Amino acid sequence: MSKESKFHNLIEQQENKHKQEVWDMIKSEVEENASVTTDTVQVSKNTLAINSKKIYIPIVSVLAVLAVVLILIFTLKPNSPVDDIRYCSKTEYTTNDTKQTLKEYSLETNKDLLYFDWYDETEFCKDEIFQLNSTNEIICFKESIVDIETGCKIDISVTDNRTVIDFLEDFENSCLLTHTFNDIEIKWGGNKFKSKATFEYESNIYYMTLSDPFEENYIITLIEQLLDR
Amino acid sequence: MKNILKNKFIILAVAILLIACCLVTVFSQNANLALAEPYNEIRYADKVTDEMQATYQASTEVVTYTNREDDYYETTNSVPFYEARGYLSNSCGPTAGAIVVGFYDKYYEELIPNFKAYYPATGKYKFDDKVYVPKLMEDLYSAMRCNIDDVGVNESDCLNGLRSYCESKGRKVSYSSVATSGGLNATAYLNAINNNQPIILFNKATELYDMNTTATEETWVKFSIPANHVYVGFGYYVVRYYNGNNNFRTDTYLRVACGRADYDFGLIRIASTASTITNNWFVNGYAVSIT
Repeated sequence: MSKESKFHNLIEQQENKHKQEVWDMIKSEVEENASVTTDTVQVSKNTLAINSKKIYIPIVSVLAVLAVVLILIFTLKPNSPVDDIRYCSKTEYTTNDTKQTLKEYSLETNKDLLYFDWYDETEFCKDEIFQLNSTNEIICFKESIVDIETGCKIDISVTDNRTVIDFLEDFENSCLLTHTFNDIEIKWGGNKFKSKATFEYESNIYYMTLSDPFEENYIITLIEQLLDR
Repeated sequence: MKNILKNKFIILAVAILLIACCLVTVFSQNANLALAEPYNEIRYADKVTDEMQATYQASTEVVTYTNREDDYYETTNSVPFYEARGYLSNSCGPTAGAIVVGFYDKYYEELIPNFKAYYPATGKYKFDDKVYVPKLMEDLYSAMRCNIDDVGVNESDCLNGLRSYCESKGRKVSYSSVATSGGLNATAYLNAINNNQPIILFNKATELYDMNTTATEETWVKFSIPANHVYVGFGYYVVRYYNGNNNFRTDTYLRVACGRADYDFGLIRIASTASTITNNWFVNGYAVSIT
């Protein structure tokens, strides 16, 4: 026989007037315990709700701050040429003659490009543009112009500083000497038949070739003339 | 009787059919031979496909020395460095012809009418022109039958076309071979240079050099033109490298006009004491004399 049954029988064995009092007392105690239990359950539920907010809100806040910081970092960080270089090979671009001179192209694009303003005197000037096949973007402007004083032909190719084009690659291996003018480093080199030089100015890279130079470092003289304007 | 006649008829029909088949086979073979012959010759076209564009490769060749000497021989004021026109496809032959004509126009100005191919003050050749040189190339393109039988030109069309153009201007052309036993005769080539005669070179895939020279070191960059191409030779270059009094290396080059916008001229290494060079690029070559 269970304890509850024994207790029940014990109560039933009491006299009637006390028995009813005992049952009323037991009943009131049971009702009181039930309400306490209910309150406890309700308090537990509220505690859980509060805890989830305490967890989620801080997490979301941190993530939001992190996202804002990352966005700011990547949008405001200046483009590093090393990280952002694009290499263009012959299959990716097309070369076309253009009647526009380098001077006219510079003015049209507001790029402040360097050029030899000999257009009225020279007998030979030829211009080409190199355009990406996919977008028609001009990735290089090349001008060939004759120095009327010496009869030397100068090729000057201009790209932005995040573009490397295959036909200009050999400048890296040809221009092993350095010269500084107006805080601009000029890399140059060459041989008996040709002088080459490359330098960066205003986020554009210039590649110059001088055919049959009458003296070895005449190309430096020409570049200094360009930069000293 | 009827059976005999019938059999004879069948036999005759079969014989006629066989003869007809043989004749068709014979004639079609001859036709194929007639068509195939030009296609068996070497064609010079350059820029045939994008995959055959000139390629640059960084060379690891570096030579260091205590001193360096060179001897250079070239035609008077070299040659004009005309460039092939994009609208004249596969035109390395006409371009080479134009370079030769431009060279001789200094001496016979009727070769390119109304055009002075050089600067009188210096004797240097003009680098190109936008009217007369393109016209010259178009005329040579037609005279050489460029792209008629196949892409570009073959050797005979190239040489005959140049001759016919010059003769139309009242001049004679003669060719002297610089080949020997299927290879380049460097002595003949140098003799032509010393006689102020440019040389038309018919080449297979060719490697050309450019170099960066300092007081103690020379670095070569190499680029390749992988297609059959016609060049104009105008220079002969010998370089000797020393450590002290010891001449430890001698290289010999031909300086050639390439007729291309990306490479106007280059050096073909034909001999070196540092290595064996076979000159497999050479097919044929002719010194050109216009009188």
